[in-house]
Amino acid sequence: MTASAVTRDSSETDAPAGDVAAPEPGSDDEPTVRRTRRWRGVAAIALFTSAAGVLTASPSILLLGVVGAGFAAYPRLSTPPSPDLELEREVEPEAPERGESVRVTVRVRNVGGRTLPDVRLVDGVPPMLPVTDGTPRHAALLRPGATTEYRYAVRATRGRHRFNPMTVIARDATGATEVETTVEAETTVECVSEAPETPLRRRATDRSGRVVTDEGGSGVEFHSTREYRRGDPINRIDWRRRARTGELATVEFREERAASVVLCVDTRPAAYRAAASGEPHGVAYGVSGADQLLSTLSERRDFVGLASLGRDRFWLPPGTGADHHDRTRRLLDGHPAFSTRPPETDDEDRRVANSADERRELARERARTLKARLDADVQVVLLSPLTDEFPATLTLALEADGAAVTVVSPDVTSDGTVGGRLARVERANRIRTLRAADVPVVDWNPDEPLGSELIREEERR
Amino acid sequence: MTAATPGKGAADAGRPAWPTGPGSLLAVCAAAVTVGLVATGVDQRLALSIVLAGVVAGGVGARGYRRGRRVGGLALTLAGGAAVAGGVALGVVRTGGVAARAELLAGLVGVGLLGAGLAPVRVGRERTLVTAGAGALVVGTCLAGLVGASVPSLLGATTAAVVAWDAGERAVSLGEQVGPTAPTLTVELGRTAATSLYGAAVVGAGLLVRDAGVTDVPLAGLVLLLGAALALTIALYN
Repeated sequence: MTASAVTRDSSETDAPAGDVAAPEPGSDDEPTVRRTRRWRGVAAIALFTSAAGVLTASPSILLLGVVGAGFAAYPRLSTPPSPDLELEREVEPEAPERGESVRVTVRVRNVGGRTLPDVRLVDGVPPMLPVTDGTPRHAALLRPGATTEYRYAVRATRGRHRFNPMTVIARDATGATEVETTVEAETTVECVSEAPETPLRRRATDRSGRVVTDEGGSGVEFHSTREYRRGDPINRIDWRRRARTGELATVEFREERAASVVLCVDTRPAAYRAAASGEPHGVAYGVSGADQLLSTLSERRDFVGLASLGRDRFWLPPGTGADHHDRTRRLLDGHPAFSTRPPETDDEDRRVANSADERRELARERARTLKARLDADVQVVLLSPLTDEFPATLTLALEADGAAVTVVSPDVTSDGTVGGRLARVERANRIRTLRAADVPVVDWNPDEPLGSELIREEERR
Repeated sequence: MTAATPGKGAADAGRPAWPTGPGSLLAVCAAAVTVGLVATGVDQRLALSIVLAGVVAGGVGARGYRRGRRVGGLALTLAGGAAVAGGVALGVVRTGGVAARAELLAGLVGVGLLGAGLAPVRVGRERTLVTAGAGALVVGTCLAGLVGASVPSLLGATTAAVVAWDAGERAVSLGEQVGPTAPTLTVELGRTAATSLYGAAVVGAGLLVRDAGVTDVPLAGLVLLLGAALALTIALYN
């Protein structure tokens, strides 16, 4: 990764620019070797039978100790496997319609020189694609050069989905050691939706683009007329008025300028909630939504930056151009800060903030560090499921500081349980508070495409 | 879930994770071989057959129940449980002598516990039940030695108990890591065959030790010898 402008800020200071290729747990290429210690209990058989043989003075029972002792030596016979595998993944179709079933065919070949008696494979299904048929998991016995093949099906959801590396767990013949590693094959499923209209607020850079401003200038939509000043372009002179009255006047149009947007994805532990087990969680929707918004923004040559509110405080300053947008997309797909794997421990928020006041202070603190990075004309699109107070407090603090924020909130609450209904009510209250403060909130029901939800929010306003 | 469940993404978080079918069946069959080798009477074999049928029916029923066939699954599980209890009772009643009764009871209870662990009767307790079942099988084999079973059948029965535990534990771990819906038959057959082959070699070694006339050596000497061998293997293992 050559993202020199990408920095991970620490909570107090602005970290110097540097590479943030932090290893994602479990995804590094170095295989993990574990001893399963599953044969440990066999020694107990040897001890028990020997003791029973001594107590009953029976040589034939005593002789059974041989079995226990023999199996205690069993794990010594095998050496840890060294899985050397080649993965091939086919998806059919590669560009499905929304809701269409996508067949995934996985072929894994043992390219090493040794037989792998027990290989367990877990394919890295993109978190937004629910498995509908079969299972992405497989077990096989692989001789050198042998291939195992299996199939499963996923349901296509909107967006571009990249497969994660496949997890491989290889055990030796006795099962005494297991080696966990990953094997990768670049596969994407692209379910293209009509480009969503990004709800941008009236705040723009000085470059021409599509944000309609309240300032007069060159553009399409009529704004006002004013007295002619020397140097005004000849095509903007109001010739009818000149013919009618003889005065020179200049027509002003509403200026259209490029927007500068920071897509901020809520990746805090609280955002990893899902409506039900098996459903995509808030971060998966957030990353998917950011990806869709990125598509439209890059088509319009707007300035786009990227930030995360989570364990890894990721920051990529707004930029434009195909290269920048490509890099932004790659970071969104692969950077650990946007990992769709829920964190093992949610240390940061728990450790620092115990009381509601402390949490609120923490959110304001985050807002201040974020604001310090934002140029005056940059607006923030915050993608958060709003599962707790933090994003709302942060948004209000940013707004109070003069930054323009739009919240896109995927709904991951459910009304199946009392707790779920309470979470739904709390989320609705947060949305109401934000809207009362004039912050546009897109309440995104993930069953609907993001585009139509954005249009609905535009109409609501 | 423990660290033994990697790659547990949101995409298949609610997936089933009970022990795999083929491995469970292999384990229960190996356990039945343990009891069958040392319990040789007609009535005892009948009791064993009933318990075995009960355990298999219970396992099938429990899996059906977890897959959503609530009524049929529950009925089959209960019927299986009743068959196990009936088989155990029949075996104990029809067997004479305290030691022989205890031997058969331990063996049949071992098969039942193993089956309960692999059904599984309680998720999260699979390994405990499988280990307890294998332990009961070993205890039953030792009791059979008291009653006077032959040395080859005793060695074979103990080895079969180890094979049963091995297959059962593998069924549990495969169930956790790849799930019962994935095809696991080749892995389980291959590795159970490897363990069985090694077990056969161990039985052969045991018979060699017996034929070498070691059993004529004073018991104290044999104990010391075996104790030393055991200490060595444990030292090697850790």
